[in-house]
Amino acid sequence: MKSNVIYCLTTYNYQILSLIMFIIGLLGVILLKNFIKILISAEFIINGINILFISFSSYQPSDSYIGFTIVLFTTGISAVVLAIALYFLYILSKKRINTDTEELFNDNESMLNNNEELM
Amino acid sequence: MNSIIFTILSISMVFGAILSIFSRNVVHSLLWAMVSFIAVSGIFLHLGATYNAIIQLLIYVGAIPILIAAAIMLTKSSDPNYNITRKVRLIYSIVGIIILCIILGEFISVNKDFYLSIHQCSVYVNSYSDIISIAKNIYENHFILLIEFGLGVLLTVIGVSHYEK
Repeated sequence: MKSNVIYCLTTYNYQILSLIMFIIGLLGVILLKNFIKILISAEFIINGINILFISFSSYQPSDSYIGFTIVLFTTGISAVVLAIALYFLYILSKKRINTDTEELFNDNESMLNNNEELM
Repeated sequence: MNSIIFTILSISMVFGAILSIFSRNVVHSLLWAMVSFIAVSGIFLHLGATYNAIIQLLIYVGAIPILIAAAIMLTKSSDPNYNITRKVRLIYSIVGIIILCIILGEFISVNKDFYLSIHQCSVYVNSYSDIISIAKNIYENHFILLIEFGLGVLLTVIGVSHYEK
């Protein structure tokens, strides 16, 4: 409902908020080791982008709802991606109990080294 | 007043996100992420995107945390030293039941006081909501995007089922 858009706040405020959310998510993806926490951080990134879309679409003077529509699609796609990632996590956890990404990559490297030694 | 609401929502959003990243337990991280997602939904509502706020609540607060909680339980990735005693669990369950009773009471009181007939609801949706505008935008202008989205979801489901075999 665009008639109720609050004009005392500008898109600049929402851009800053979106940027903060994006940086928090990016830091989480880069720094964290737990696979589930990395997925949650990716959701933060997507939420930051969604805020940007909604704010720009709300402050647009024309009656276009393209930002709202794109946010609906990104929400659905993020849910699908998260479900698939958790499914692969479940498959991985059948072999390894810990979901630490560093240990996961170390295990892969050790497996590759073992294979090379065998060959 | 509007800037105060925006400030409260944005602070709770950033606070929840930071605590979600820095909390050690995964379940606590998930709960703080839910706080952040609820604040994002409030910001959508503040911007006038009512339908997107509802979808945000349904998916990000309703569906995704349950999915992640199921994954946590299946993968046993939570901290093994984190043990809840029976007494603490009883206190948590009592608090949960109290919150459930409050929410149910609110639903009952709202339906009692502000009862709307079907005709009134349709008039309300037509005049005050962005649902119809979004639906027109999807089905008239961006229906190819909708078809592509459906095809993408179908392909991922087929791929995952094929991977399982």
